[in-house]
Amino acid sequence: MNSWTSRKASFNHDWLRNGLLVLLGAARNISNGTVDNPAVIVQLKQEATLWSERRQEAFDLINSLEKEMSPVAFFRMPPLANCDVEILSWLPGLAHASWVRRHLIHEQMDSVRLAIGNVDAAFHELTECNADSVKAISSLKCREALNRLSDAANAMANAFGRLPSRILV
Amino acid sequence: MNRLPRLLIIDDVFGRNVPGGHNRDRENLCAHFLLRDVTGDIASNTSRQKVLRPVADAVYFRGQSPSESAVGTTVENDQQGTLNLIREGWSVSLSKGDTPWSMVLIDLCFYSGHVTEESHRRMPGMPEGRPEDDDPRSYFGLILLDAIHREFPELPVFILSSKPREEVSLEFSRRGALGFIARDDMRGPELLQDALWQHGLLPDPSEEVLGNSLPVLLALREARRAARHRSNLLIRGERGSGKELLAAYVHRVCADADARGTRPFVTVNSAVLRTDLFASELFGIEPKTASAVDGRIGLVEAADGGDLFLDEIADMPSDAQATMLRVMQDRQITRVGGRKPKVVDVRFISATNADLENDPRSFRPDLLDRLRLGGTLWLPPLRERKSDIPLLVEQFVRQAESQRHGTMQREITPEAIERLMAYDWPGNVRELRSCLFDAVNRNPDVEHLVPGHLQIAPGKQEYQTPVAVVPQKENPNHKQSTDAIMNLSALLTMLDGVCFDSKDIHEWSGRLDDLQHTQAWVFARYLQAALDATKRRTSEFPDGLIQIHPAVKLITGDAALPATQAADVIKRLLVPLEDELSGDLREALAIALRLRPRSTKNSNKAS
Repeated sequence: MNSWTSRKASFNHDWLRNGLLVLLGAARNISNGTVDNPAVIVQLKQEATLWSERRQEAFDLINSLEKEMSPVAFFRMPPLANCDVEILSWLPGLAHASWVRRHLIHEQMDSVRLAIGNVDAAFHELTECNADSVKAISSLKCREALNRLSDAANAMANAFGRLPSRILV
Repeated sequence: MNRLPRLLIIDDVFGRNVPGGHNRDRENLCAHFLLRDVTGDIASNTSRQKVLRPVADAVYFRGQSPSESAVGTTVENDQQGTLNLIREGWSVSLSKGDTPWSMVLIDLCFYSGHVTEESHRRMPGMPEGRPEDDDPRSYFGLILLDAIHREFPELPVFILSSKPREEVSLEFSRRGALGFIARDDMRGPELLQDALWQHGLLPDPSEEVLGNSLPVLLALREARRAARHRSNLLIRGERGSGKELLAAYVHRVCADADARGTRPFVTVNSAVLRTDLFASELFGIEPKTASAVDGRIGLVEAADGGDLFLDEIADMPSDAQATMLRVMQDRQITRVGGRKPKVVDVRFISATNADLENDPRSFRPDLLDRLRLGGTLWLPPLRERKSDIPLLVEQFVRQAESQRHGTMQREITPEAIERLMAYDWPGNVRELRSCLFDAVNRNPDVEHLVPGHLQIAPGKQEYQTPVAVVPQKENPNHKQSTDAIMNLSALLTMLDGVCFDSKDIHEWSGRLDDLQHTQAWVFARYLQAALDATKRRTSEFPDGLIQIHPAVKLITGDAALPATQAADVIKRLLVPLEDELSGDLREALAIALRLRPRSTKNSNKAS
């Protein structure tokens, strides 16, 4: 697993899927009265506060995809690094362009950026409804905000999930 | 008592003990899936969360050792420890009569290796992970799945993971997992409830079908699966094993799942089908004002929209079988005296203890196919679910006590339980119930139920076909009466071991005729049982007509035996007793002699 894949796993699997989405599921059940645990609301507020850091992490990840996961990496090590200088002047670029086209890399990157933006908006909406107590989070406005954040976070997880997990050609 | 299903969740993140005690990730997972954490470790004991309407109780296990780790610790996957825990909640629970695991949920990827400052900062107690941990080809979860399925093939296992399902869908199916629930799916609680309902091993919460043994839990699971559709069902099981209760369970779980509300459940007494009135009972009577005939709806119409339970279908006479087949094919009935057919939507749940496919009473195969269109449910006999006996004993003793005013509430002694567990209960749960009601009714003023209060056949360790020896007043063919019940195999074993002491001449000399005579009566009674079992009952002959050919096929086990040879067997068995016979045996010999008249040359004595 290379560094980018490791960072993606940490962000998408460890934090987003195992952390935030499970937390949002818990929060939903707090808001509908089936679970009693005020600590979940505190945790949700912390996540909202830390979202700006996570957002930056998400953007850093997607912005570095093209560079770190390009098949150009194969030309930096043997055997491809041993090719003629003349071949190395054009073949890596071709491989990269082919990879971008074949795997719709730019489209996927745009999709992820859009998903990040939607999560950003949803966090903003949740913050605005002041969901800092059980009573507040049970209000219709907060429950709708919670649902939108769940949907947006889920879409972001799926968008990151569709990105390559290894260097492809 | 409404007990929750008990899940085992094997997961490195949610199963770990976190330094400091509080596993926030586990708490959130419980809140998301509506689980009550009953692990009993520090994490569950320090949690203040309350799940008000839990779907299940959950026991968490890391699947690794140590269960708690800090910076500097090395965490390794622990297959043996995991299997030991499963054994405890499975084999040990089953043998004690406790509820075993309803289901096991396993994660896919388990991070192992050293816990570093960085990995501990990201998630307390979690190791850095090794490259192979995240390789779908070597997920520890799949290795565990393999091992679990090999040792516990009946244990339902689901994958619970946030890894992409498509990465592992073929592998988890190959290795025996029944499904996959994405941990981050917002429909989590609904998906888990559905998985438990379809695949989990769940006791009957109403305790009508009482038991925690694996055979009963498997039967209940099959019943729930069958209840999801409206096709006819056949329930098979020995007499007294609870077939009607299982039918009621099918109806009940269907009603619980049905948004349209309660459907009717109508039981048909099989005796109804043996009378001339079966048509009016089943289909009702059209009212006729001119002749002042009161109308009434029949049992099938009363079950419209719901379920009709037909008990002991093997006793259904052939004309009733033909009628029922038409009803199932056309899905409509016409009341007796009526003209206009009425469409009915009825699920037929039928029950039998007979081997209908090979029953000489000739059950229509086309009707049998219709009756089991939605499947066959098998109820285990009590001897195959003995771990349920203590539960059943408790229930029946309390029922008996509540029905009798002034009866003391008694403790059931371990010796009494042992005595009850040693018997094989050929009459199954019904026989057990009768025994206990009898014990309570005859001993209303005692605080302890002891073996002496129980009236059951002694020394019956293995179940075999019982051979009832009928008292003289019921069977005039007998010279001596006894009301002992003995297994046929035990009888054969006993006879096989009989020896005569050559020195004890006075005991056995001159007794050949007596020995032959007794032997002849044993064979005659054997034949009598077969004649009773194969009688053909009609409306004209409700007591039944004997059929010598099916009876002899039954005792010889030869389905291809010609009728003439059957007659020869009858003659061989009964001619030695010709002057003493009466009733069915006399008639059987008469029929055999008509088929195969005596030769004028030979004596036709038994050879």
